[in-house]
Amino acid sequence: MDTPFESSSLSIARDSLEDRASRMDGYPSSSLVNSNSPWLYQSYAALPSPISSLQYLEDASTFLNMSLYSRSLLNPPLDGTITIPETIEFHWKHNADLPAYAFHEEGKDTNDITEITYLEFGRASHRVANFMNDKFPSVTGRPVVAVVALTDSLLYQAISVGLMKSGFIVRAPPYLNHELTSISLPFSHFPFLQEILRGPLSIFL
Amino acid sequence: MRVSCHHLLTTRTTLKDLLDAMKTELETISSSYELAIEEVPSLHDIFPKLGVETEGDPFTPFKTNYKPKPDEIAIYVHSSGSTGLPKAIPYEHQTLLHLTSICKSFDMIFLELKRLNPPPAPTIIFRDHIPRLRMAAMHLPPFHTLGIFAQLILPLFGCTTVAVYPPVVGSRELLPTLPTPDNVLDHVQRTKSNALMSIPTFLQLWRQDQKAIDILSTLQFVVRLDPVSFDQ
Repeated sequence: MDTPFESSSLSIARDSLEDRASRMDGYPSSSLVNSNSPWLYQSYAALPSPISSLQYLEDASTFLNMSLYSRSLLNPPLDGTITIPETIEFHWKHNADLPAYAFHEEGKDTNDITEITYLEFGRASHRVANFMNDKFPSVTGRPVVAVVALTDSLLYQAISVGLMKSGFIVRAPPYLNHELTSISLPFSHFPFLQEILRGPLSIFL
Repeated sequence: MRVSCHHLLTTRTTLKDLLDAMKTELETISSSYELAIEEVPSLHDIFPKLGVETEGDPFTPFKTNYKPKPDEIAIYVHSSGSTGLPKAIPYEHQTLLHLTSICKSFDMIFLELKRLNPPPAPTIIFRDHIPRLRMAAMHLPPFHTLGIFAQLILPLFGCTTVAVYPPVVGSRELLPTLPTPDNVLDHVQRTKSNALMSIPTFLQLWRQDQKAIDILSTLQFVVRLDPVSFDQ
């Protein structure tokens, strides 16, 4: 099987990367997977080693970001100068048009994937912060707010960031470990309710 | 750890029984306990142009002088309860940041890599991956550390696009999508994700199913997240 990326060398021949990119054409190809190795992690282990040259990275980004993405993101600093709620404005400045989330709605055309850009997600979090300001106008300090809600992940995460923005401390509900690991049935959003029901007050007092 | 909490954001219709039980118990213990309950804002209020919002659409930015400090608490999450009852764990902003690069669960992946390859140069896992990733993490609970990592840290610090279920809670009586091993694979394909994060329960089911393996083997990689290893 022709898999140039089984090479463990740090420097990867550029043409093999290009070759790979052209074969993938915007979507990972199963031909990259070595069917003899265990399926878990196998393609990860076969990845090219990190690329050291910046110039090379730039070249690579022109063809490797592929059809999923129009261009590279600018990464926010990881040195602690900005926090989660502050990444919003960073992304507005540098990555506003790029997708933070993607989903596909029922009944839509196969290629019609909805993307939530950093612009839109950031605005969503600002709207949550404004909402909290309106609902709890007189709060001082940094109150804790429990979010015990059955809602979509996208909205839940916008709420989390919005609360952090407006100075609230988010209180997430409990979620029992055994619900995640031991049962062989699909886990749901609901197990945490059982725990709360067992001790409804534990998240407040 | 006990945390004093007097504000609640909830979905009153779908969690009615729970809230009633909660209120009753609060009253029996303390009739004067103040609890301000609010309905979560609606999907439409927060994402009025879901998926198509542009710069020109109406928007009022939130203005504040508050600037979070790295050592301030951002969120209380719960341990998975592997050592007894779930405990509240305070996560500072810097803890969340550190999740970007320090993540115990990935040790084993790195070990694998070291065995097969020379040690990788310092890079941020997932963020610096080529090609760029669209990480499927739709089924991870959004309020658990797994979900916070996959659905919040990854897109915001990790610059990775995260595939989620399409939002469906358009009115108060509706419930979010219930994750199943089948609908995860369905949405992995429909969102054209090229990587997946999942939990042992699902992985064990998929590895017994050739169709699932065929789908997963088209991905760049599958990450196994062990909820217990996220307990600190």
